[in-house]
Amino acid sequence: MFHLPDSPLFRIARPEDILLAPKPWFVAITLALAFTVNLLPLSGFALALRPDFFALVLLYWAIHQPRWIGIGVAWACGLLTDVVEANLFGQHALAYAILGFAASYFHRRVLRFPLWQQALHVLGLLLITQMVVLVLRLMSGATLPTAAIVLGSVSSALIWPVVSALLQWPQRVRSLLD
Amino acid sequence: MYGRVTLLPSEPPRFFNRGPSPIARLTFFGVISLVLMFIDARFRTLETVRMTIATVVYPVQQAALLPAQAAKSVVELFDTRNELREDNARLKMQLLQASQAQQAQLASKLEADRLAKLLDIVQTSTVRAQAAQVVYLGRDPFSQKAFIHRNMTQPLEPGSAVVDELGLLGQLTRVHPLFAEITLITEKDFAVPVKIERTAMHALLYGRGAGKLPELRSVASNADVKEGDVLLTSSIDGVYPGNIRVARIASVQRTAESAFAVIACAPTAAVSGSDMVLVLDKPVALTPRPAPDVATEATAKKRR
Repeated sequence: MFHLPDSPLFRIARPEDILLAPKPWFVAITLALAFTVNLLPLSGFALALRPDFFALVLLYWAIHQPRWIGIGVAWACGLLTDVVEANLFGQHALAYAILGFAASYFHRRVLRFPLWQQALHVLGLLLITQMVVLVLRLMSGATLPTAAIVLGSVSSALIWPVVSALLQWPQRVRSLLD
Repeated sequence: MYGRVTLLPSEPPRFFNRGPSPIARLTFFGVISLVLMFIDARFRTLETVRMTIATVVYPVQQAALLPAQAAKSVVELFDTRNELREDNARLKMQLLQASQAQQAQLASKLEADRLAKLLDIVQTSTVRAQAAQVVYLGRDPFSQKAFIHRNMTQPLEPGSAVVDELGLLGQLTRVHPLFAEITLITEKDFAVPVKIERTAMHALLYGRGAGKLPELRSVASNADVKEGDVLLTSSIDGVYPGNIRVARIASVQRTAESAFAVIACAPTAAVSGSDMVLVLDKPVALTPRPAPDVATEATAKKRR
């Protein structure tokens, strides 16, 4: 598979490394930023290809900081997504809550893998999330969309290594400086 | 000295206490989600909650639009003078044609009004139209929505028809303080009562979801329907004002097995590309359905 360049920017801490905890405001800001990026006015193929940044960043923090970002926060984030996408209340909430649960279940295991294998886990989790939404939508009478909607999960998984490296960067820098 | 009895803590220290187990939490939030979905789908009582959250989040949405707007204004900066002049000439020509058509229409309307007065028919009033700008299209791959900007003072009403310069776009479904949501006519099972311009035959046009053309349902195989026929709103529903272009028939398939023709229709409005739209007020409410005649109904029942 691919190897990330061996620079401090891209090296991610091993599970046995002890990092300083992230700042709570950093977690909040990255979540808000991911939410905003999700709202970019894309349409058509670009929209299908766009990674679900919000779910991705949520999953990152749910795996790395399960004490802070758990099922409840994930659920609230899903509710927010439901409102901005103007669809049935609670469907993304349920899907993201399941994502949060899966993260809390897997967080110890996932981190022991190299980044690209973590990405495969992430792909699985995001696909489950999408399937939950799909099933709920079909039950509420929507048409079956094209298979292109899974592209979003694939692209999300592909950028997982970069997202993890970026989100952990402040912690690594602070730990190095200490 | 009598020893003080200290109770051993019955639960682990706070440090280890993580609250309810993940599976309990998931069940809790899962049940809440399902209840919310049920309430939202059946009773529509959560609109105020939705409106509050949507209004709070709206500035974030606006921020997300900034990059696209900046790109657009940069492109506009490079519009050459020539292009602008061409645009201007074309628009003037269109205006000329439109005013010509309007004058002809005014004359015929006067005529029609006079005749209507003679025949004692209730006057049809002209509908008021409010211009609005489409800010973004819906991101949900399962539904067909567009969102328009709204001034707080603009009296928009859910249910009003939305048109662009080419035809019917959809219907306002939710009005928030700062924006409003249009459900497009391509949304699955979104029905528009229409009539065929050529034959005045009434039918219902149903949306079929993203990437599929809406279709006319329940039209008999032998009905006089041709490719290229124009569909207009029929105004029998009290929602859409009459005679707005809706779609053009793209294909008609008649099969021996089915009593109905399969008729695909291409919307005339730029369903996913309109920039400026008009929101039309709802037509004047129709006179209520007269109370059923009790006597005749009783006899009808007896006969049955």
